[in-house]
Amino acid sequence: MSIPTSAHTLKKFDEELSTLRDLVLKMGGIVEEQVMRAVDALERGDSDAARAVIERDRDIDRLELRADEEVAQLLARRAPLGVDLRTVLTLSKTVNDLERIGDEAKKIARIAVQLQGSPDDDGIPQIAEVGALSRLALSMLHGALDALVRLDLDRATRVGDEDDALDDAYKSMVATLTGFMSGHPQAVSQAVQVMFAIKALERIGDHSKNISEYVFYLVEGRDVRHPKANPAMQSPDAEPGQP
Amino acid sequence: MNSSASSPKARVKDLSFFYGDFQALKDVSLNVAENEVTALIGPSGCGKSTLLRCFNRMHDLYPGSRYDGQIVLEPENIDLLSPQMDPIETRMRIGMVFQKPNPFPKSIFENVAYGLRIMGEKREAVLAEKVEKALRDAAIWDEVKDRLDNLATSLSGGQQQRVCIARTLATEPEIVLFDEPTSALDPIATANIEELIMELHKRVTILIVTHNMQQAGRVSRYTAFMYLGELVEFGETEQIFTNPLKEQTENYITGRFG
Repeated sequence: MSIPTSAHTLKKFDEELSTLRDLVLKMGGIVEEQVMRAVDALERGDSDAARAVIERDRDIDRLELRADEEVAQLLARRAPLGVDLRTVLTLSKTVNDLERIGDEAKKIARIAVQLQGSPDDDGIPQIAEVGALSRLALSMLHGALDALVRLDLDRATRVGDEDDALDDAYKSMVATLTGFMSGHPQAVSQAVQVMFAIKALERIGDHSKNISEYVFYLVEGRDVRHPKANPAMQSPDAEPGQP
Repeated sequence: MNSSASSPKARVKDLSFFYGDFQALKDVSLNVAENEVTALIGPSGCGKSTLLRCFNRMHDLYPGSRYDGQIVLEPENIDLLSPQMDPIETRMRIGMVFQKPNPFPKSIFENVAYGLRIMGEKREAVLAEKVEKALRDAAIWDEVKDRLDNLATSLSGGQQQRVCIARTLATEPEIVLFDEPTSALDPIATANIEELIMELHKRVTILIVTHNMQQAGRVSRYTAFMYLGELVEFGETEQIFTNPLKEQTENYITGRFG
């Protein structure tokens, strides 16, 4: 079923939905930047840049508070139904995931500060690989937000596929880091920090995947999350993106 | 349409209705699930009240109107619209509650007993018992038990409506039709009637016409959306309200009236 393109008779309703959408997109933009800058700060050992990321997380928190207030008002005053209900629920859940992604970026930034401060004779070579993992996570985040803006189910499906690649890359890096730690016990405390950073990127991937799954709910009214637990997904044909 | 959870109490089959030359209903078919609440929604002129009034042959009162099709009552498999069906008997079995509470200018007791007396019941003890039961089922017994001889018109709007419901229930109908039963009532009276409907449907099949979409959402298991005499979409209320199949339905429930 296609999303209605006509306006509500009550114009304020359209304005309020637009306000909520804009808040979410603004949040998405800031969150993407935060992840990029946090990883960049980690790779370059730039603690000033890292501190700027930590500071800016407050902007994300402010947007979350405003968005949640908009959601409450929409639910209370407009009693949305059909696609409007699904839109408000989707945007509400997306706000939550974006705020969590922002927190993960802050964690990465904190790790950057910590690693910069610690005396270290053996550099952690895997820091360079964090960049590769971060590009996958950022692609997922960007793709999920893109799918949401354009209501693009194909793009949303690809985010799900990218998550598999991210998980594989994550596991591979964990194995490499673990190997590194056995050979360099004096660098274990720093390596553990790097492990936390790549875990944060893996979490960013998960949250991005969540957002991409909400797009199916918004567009088709189908909940495609948790295939193993979801009775509606038990049919072999029930894959996201397929009718 | 999925009414597999509940067998139909009535089947509307290819029903058309004409006011003279004007076709107010166009080939409507749907099943009314037994002991469930089915809501009819749609803009003014869509045919929802026209459809409702076919069930109890209200249109018979107006010359120049014509039914084409069937409403089959189960389990007897009888067509309510058949000329052989006595409309008076039909109205004993298919009750109706109107938008404006319309108690007779009689006592509360006599209002509720009216249908029973028409059916021939003369025993006062039986009448008293059935009147009490009907008033209890209409969730108003406690409020009026000590003043059954008072005029029904002395009650508040919400109370009057519940007495009208009791009057309908006294003849133990199989289906009760509600035609915008709360649009003249305040929110508290509305909530009382809705709660009553939620209890009542366990014993009797209910069809409700409402302009208030939230009300349809609150009380009904199934919803039919009508437009210009046609049944556009019929389904479980949960599905109609969160993910309707038809664009027209979506536009209506989301307030995109064009």
